[in-house]
Amino acid sequence: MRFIFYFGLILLLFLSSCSKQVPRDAALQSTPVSIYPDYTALTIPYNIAPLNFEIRQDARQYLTRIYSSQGKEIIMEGKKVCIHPKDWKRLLKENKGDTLYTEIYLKKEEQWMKYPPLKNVIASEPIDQYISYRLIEPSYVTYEEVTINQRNLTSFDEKVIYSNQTLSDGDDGQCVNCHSFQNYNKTGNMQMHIRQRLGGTVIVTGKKVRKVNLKTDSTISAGVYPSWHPTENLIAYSVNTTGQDFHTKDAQKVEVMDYASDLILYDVSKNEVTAIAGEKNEFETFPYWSADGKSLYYVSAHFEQKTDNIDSELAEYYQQIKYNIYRKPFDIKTRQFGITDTIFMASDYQKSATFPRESPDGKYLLFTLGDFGNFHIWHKSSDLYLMDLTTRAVRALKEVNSPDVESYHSWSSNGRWIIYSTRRDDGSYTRPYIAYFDKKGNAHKPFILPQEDPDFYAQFFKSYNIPEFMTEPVEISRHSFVKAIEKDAINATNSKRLPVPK
Amino acid sequence: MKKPIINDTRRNKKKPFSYVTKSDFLYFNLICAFLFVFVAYYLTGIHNVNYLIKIEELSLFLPTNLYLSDCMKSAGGLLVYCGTFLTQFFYHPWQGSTIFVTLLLLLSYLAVKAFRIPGKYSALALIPSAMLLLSLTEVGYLIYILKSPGYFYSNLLGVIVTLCSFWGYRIIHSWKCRTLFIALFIFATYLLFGFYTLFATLLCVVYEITSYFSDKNSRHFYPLMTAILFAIFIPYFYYVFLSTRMLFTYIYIAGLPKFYFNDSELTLWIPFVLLFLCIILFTFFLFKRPKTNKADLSFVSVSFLYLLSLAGTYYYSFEDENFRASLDMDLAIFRNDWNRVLEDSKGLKGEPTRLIVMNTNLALHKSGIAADKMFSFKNASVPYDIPRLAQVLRNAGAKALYFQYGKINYCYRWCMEDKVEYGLKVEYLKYMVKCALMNREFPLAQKYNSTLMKTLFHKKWALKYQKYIDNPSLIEKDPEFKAIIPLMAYDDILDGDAGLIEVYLVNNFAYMQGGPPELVDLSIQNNLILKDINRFWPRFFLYARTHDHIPVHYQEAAVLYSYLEKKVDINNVKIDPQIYTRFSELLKMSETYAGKSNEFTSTALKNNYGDTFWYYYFFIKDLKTN
Repeated sequence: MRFIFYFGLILLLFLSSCSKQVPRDAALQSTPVSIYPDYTALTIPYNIAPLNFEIRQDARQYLTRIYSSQGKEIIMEGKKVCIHPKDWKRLLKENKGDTLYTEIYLKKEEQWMKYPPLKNVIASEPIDQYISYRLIEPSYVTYEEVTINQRNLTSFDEKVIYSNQTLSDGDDGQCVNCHSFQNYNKTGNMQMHIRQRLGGTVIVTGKKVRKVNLKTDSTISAGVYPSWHPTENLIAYSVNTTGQDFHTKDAQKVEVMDYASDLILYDVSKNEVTAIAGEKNEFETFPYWSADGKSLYYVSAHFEQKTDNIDSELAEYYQQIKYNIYRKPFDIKTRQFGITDTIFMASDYQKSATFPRESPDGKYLLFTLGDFGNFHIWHKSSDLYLMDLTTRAVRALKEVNSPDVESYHSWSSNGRWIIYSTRRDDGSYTRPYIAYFDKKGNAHKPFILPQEDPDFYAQFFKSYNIPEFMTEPVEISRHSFVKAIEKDAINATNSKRLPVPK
Repeated sequence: MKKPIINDTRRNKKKPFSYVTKSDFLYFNLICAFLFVFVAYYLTGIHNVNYLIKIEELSLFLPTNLYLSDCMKSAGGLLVYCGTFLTQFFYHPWQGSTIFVTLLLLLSYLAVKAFRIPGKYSALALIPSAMLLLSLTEVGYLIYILKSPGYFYSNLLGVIVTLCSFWGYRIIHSWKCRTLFIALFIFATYLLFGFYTLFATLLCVVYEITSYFSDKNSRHFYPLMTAILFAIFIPYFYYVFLSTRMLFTYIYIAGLPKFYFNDSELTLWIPFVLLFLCIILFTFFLFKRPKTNKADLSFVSVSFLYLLSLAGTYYYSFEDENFRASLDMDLAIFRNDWNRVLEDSKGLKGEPTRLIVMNTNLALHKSGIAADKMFSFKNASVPYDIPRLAQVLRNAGAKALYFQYGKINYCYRWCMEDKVEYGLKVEYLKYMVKCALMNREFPLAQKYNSTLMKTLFHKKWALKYQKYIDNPSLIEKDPEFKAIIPLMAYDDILDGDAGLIEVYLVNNFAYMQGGPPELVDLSIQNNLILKDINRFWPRFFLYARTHDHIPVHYQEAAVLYSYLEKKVDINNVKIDPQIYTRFSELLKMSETYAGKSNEFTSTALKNNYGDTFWYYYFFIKDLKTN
């Protein structure tokens, strides 16, 4: 017994002597140390994965202390600060609504330096547990490996939902794009497109996976940009004919243009397609349902073709194509659309708007605004803008914008977080940034999606495309997708309903 | 009971080579090994230096977890990882060759050990090595588009793994242990070695079957059946539950090179077929031991097979003058050594490919002598000796040509497109750094340059360009960038080349109007290439007004066009009287050949006029661009 007691005592002494402690004689510094990613002055969700970072200053030794008013502090050594997920989770959970401090100590020569603590606020609202995105190189026409992935935001777990490499090897290529979920995947309903080899639209309803062909004799293409109705088994799509050209000199490099574009509604249960909008001189695209499902937002640009050669015409006048935001009321019972309401005439400001997304509480509309066209991921001018739907006042969401591209965005299910794609880091590779959106309608400083290795983004050569929040993960196995995609697509039929009023 | 002594006259008969002793085999094997080393060195570090350098440039190894996990996304990933690691050493061709040849010798040694190949047959163990040597030297133009990272080592390493595994398996005596071993082996290593795990399994299966026939012990079926079942199902389970980067059709061949299974690429498979066949046949050495270790006729067969494999390796190694010249030019272009490019072009014995012609014209332009010399170089469109339908000019030349001609966005585009299709490579990264610098996209340049900083041999290069990223004012002082900047004096438009590099470049320059003298020069030259009279004149007169001396080819074109059209007066232009004299002589000679075939006339005039624009105008036709 005595032996156990002494052994325990020695072990305790040994362990306590090993535990890291911050130096007491450190010289105070006035300027904060630079870290990458920039995880300072943020509002972060209490359930986010550890914000691992790298200290961007050379020193002999590094010590980082992370603490808040409650709970056990975290002390770590090393230039790369990779926080233990359990410690991090506990600390954040115990300090919801409080400030999280990160104190950095650097030992230069023989002297420890203490830098001003970096402060982040821990929001009491959680972030949705999952996001999905497509990983693809910022390429022009070629593609090889394209995957749609889901990431658990509370950890670093990432899973491939579907990879085109399981059914194509590049020479007989297959592309996968436009993943879309019904109501944050709460229903388990989703869709994505498979292009070229074994092409079609994959529709998941619960555990059932099937592939359909949405091209009918009355539509100009199969479905392109989708939006699942929040409650009904309906998907609004744009149908597009697009072209692509390359800038000979401009740093924006690629321009993708609509040559024709309409909107359709696909009834998943009936496998039927109905026209929503298809004006001759209008490029209607990017449909998106309002949070209550009672209206459909979309954007449209007016273009009158003057010659037989739309290719060269658009290559010359592409900067004059401006998309405005519209909304059509939708009667869920009759499934009829009403008369179009103009929401924002971007063209009046010589601008072009895309991706209108209504906040879950229906108060705000977040959209992307650039100088022209609709492929804003290549437009340096594109920024996120916010419309107060009560007053219709529009403002640039300066809190989250950068001199480079801001484009696709998604609201979290509680409306307190936005995730959006931006090329601010290097101008080419799209990265997902998350920002807190408070009750007063202000966004807070954004931060990049945390990764286990802080250097991850510098080494990673793919873009994050269409980041979407999800409350539930995709449960369908990759193999189930493969089996469904291998089968022939079921052809959708035209609905015999009356055309939509203009 | 003693066996009766039979007086067999055959036994007393002296066999051929019976005077060869055991130690002589050792000498023989050493000679074979030395000969092999000589041939291997010759075909790598001596004869194919530029090829090895190119192989390294078209590869990339990064010492990061991300790269390792990326490799491991498909079966055989560890071979790719190690293969790309070793490929780096081709940066110094002799170093790379030494590693490669050493591994080939190791493979032969392992074959001798794994299959207990008797001394007099040991030279046969060099045949698989010869086949792997051939797999390196046979690829040719395909190196640009081969989607098998680490190819030049991954198969070699795969075979080494196979032999080690089989050797390990063979020395296990207990059938229970062998059963356990094979199950664990397939389960644990399929992801790492892909096909080569299955190939090692096949050897084990052959071993068990052969063992059964020799001892009729049914216990051989336990490891045998385990091996077969695991080899069938483990890849399948891996495909269904784990893989995100593998086609079902590849599950049993993951790790083999991605050549097509068609007639034109059949020859590329031959070394692999022979290699695998050879190794399978080696298993019979374990059961059919030679009765004597003395030399007999089989010794002659061994020597013959060995020499045949070496001769075959030499004979079937890819040999193409244009390919060789292109590689040398490519390296010279990267060093901005324009004289070297021109020497390569002059040194051609046969007719050139378009890539050679384009590179030559680029070098002439950079040397400032294009307008005097461009039609004196060979001009043809010999097809590329490549078994696959591919845009070789685009794959092999687009980046350098676009970059050097100031089409930075298009250079970057093809780096990106090729990176997507064929994977990230040193060559692409270097051009991407340069393009990003020219476009003043410094964070992007930093991203690519930081990646190069992580490599073993390109840090020095990256450090040079890091200075430009840190201090952009140095960019304009760099001689290479300095020469390109004037060529970028054009307006941005939306355009596309559709992968047709030559057509795009020639037309783009031909339609340009005005601009810096360098662009005017290029515009005139490309209008000469297109034989476009209408666009020639305004540019020519602009040139004549702004220059004291008019280059030879411009004069030749002016004389010819004014003669043909008879509507443009060039009397006020300083034309060298010799040009007029030469032109009148040409007209006279042409009259003499009136009525003769075009072929006859072109041959007759080539000696005297083959270096003129006139000859190009009349006789160089139907060139197939790209």
